[in-house]
Amino acid sequence: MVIDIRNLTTYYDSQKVLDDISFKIRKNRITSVIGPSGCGKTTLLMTLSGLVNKVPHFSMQGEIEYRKKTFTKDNLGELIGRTGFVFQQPLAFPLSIEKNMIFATKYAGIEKSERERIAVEKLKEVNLWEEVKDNLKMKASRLSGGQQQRLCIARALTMYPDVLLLDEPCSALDVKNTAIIEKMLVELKKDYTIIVVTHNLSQAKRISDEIVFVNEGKIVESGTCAGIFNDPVEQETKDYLSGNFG
Amino acid sequence: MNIYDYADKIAHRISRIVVLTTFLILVLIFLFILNESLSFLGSGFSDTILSVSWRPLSKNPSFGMLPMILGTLYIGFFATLLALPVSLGCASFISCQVRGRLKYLMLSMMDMLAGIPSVVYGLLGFYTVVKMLESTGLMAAGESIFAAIITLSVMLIPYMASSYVKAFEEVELMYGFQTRALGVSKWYSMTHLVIVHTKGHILTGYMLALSRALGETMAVMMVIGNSPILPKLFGKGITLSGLIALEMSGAQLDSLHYQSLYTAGIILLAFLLLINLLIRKIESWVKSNEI
Amino acid sequence: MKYRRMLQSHNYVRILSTVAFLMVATVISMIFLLVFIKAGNNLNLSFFLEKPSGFPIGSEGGVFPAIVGSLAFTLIASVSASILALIVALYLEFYCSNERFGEAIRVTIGVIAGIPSIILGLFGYSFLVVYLGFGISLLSGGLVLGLMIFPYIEIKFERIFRDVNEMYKISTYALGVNTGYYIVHIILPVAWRNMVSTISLASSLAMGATAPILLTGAVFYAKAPKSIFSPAMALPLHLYNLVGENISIENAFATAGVLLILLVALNLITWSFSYSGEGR
Repeated sequence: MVIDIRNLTTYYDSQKVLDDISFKIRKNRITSVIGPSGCGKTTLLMTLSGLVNKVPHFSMQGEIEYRKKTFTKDNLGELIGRTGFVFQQPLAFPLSIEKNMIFATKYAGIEKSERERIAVEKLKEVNLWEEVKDNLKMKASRLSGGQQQRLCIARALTMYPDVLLLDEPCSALDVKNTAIIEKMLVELKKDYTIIVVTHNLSQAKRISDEIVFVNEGKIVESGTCAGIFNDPVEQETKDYLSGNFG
Repeated sequence: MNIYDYADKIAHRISRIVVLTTFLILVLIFLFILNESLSFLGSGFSDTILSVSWRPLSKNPSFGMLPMILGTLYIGFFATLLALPVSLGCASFISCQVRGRLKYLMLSMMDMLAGIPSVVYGLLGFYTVVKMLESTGLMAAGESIFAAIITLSVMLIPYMASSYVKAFEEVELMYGFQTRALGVSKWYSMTHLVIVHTKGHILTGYMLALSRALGETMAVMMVIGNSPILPKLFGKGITLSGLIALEMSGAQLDSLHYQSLYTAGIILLAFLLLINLLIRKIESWVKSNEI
Repeated sequence: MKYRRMLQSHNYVRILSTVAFLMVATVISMIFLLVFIKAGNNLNLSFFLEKPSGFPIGSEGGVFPAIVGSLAFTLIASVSASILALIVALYLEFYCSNERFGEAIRVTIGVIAGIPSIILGLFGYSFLVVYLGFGISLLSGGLVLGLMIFPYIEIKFERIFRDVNEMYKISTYALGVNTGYYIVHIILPVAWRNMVSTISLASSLAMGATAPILLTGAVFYAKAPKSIFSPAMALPLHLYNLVGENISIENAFATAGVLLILLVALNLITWSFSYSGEGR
């Protein structure tokens, strides 16, 4: 297991968003966090990435153990850069494809040749290399939505994170691009631990190994994909999966 | 810690210090202008400010600024009142009737007109309005308050109109589809929705134009005649800023005359700060009422 | 029925607005025609390249020293104002964590923006010319002009920075990158075109302003300036003198023509920078 979350509570101003959450995330698996809108899924992801401190009004309690190190609200910022984060809206930086890919490695002070090697390697990992290898100098904003989203994933991978966090990565994409990304995520899980937030239940069913069902800031139920979908324990989970609310 | 982190920290520190200099500049402005005028106000001649006789250099000096104060307000108010309906009409026409490239072209023209230096407007006012007044034979010299009002309002129209067009466009963007869906014409929604909705903005735009008008120096100075007499529509007059611009070069350093000009500056500044305050009040009122 | 619809209030508004627009359009086109027709007769190459001459001075000759002076004033003003504005805008938009402090700075800048240029001239005279001892010089005049355009540039810069997609910020932070790196690699490459166009627009404001340099840096007649501590001529003041002292209305129009040509050039720069690039 890589991440152990213990008694995590987050606030927006004084309002509780996540309420005393504890669970473990296993290595080299795809864990899907599902639940209705506004249940705190995105906040959970932002906390795991360490970004929560960068957003005004947010505060947190509790601790996250990651690679034998414990993070609390004081040192949560150190998690940034160890986890890769992919946002809902595909957003390539307004630079060339190449510059997008070396954006973070340049900051980290990695040598030029090495930076370029990493960029190529990661573009291959997300199956984008064949499509863009001839025009790396092109503005990345000219890529299609699906390509941009894959670029964003590749960009997040350039920092060699162990964990890849994706916030509704396909909700702005069409069916074809969604399929490409889902296939790629399944390929990526041999190298990374992947956490996906989604409210697309069928997508969660297709790709995930583990499911965490969150509602109103609490974990209602968690378990293997098959277990949750075929044999949910809680009545609330049954209702959500059968479409009675959410 | 890598080099970018150091750079960021240093940039943060330096910029904070630099930002503080903006406070310092404002404090210095007030300090230096107040300093000069306070020595005038303490000199015993301060009670002559509210008279009409401006004789700063005579043996028995008198610093009557009533002609300048009234002249400034007279010209400012009438010029903006003349410009307001015209620029409103102009703005409505552009946002209702003109489309696409032509509208873009007109807006850039407006911005360019608002950027033409005031001396050029002064020259044009002198050459057209003043000469015209002279040729009618009504007055011996065409330089007058009337010429100043016309010149100033021509200057203000592009400025006001372009700010109104921007406000109208915003409302149009928000409600345009919905009003069109109800089948009413653009002009109908302009009259009954857009202008009503933007009345706060129209007011602040007017006040901003007024503060520009009160502070305007060169254009007015070139067509007004610059005599310290109480303002009459077809007579000569003078403004506070015109007084300062004209007499500063002749005033001896640290003389009463010199200090009185700073006092004129303070009076002008007081009017403008008052307007500035009103604009802020109106803006916050508009914000709280719009939602 | 048809007549009742015709008499609705919005149709009056329509007619009156059209009249107002036509009026303004006529006046404006007449203004332009007038300037160029009157200036055209006297505006030739020698007017650009010669010193003013004749008696009274300015009745003959050209405006070369005034062109140089105006350009120098404008350069000093725009450089000083842009540097200050850039730093302040970056600080307020990206570093300032105390909202009340930021608001106080913004109010301060708003107040400076509301001070009329003649008062800035007064301040410049007593502070820069007398107190700091810069004298009537290019430096004093340029700095006062800079003070005049600083709020304009700062407010626009801040708006430009704010218009850059907010999501870039959080996306870059997610990669573990700090604010300075974000500014240099994302904000400035995205925003520089608009920043240049803002600066050139502000320069055109500075170039046309007369009141601030009237008291601090511009003189009736001088040779082309040698150092930043020498006084200089400026086009708008020269124009004012030609009219105010009744020297030569023809040369006044020609000077106005030169001034407008320079301003149009600056406007073209503005235009080419803000619209030739890719839309954001």
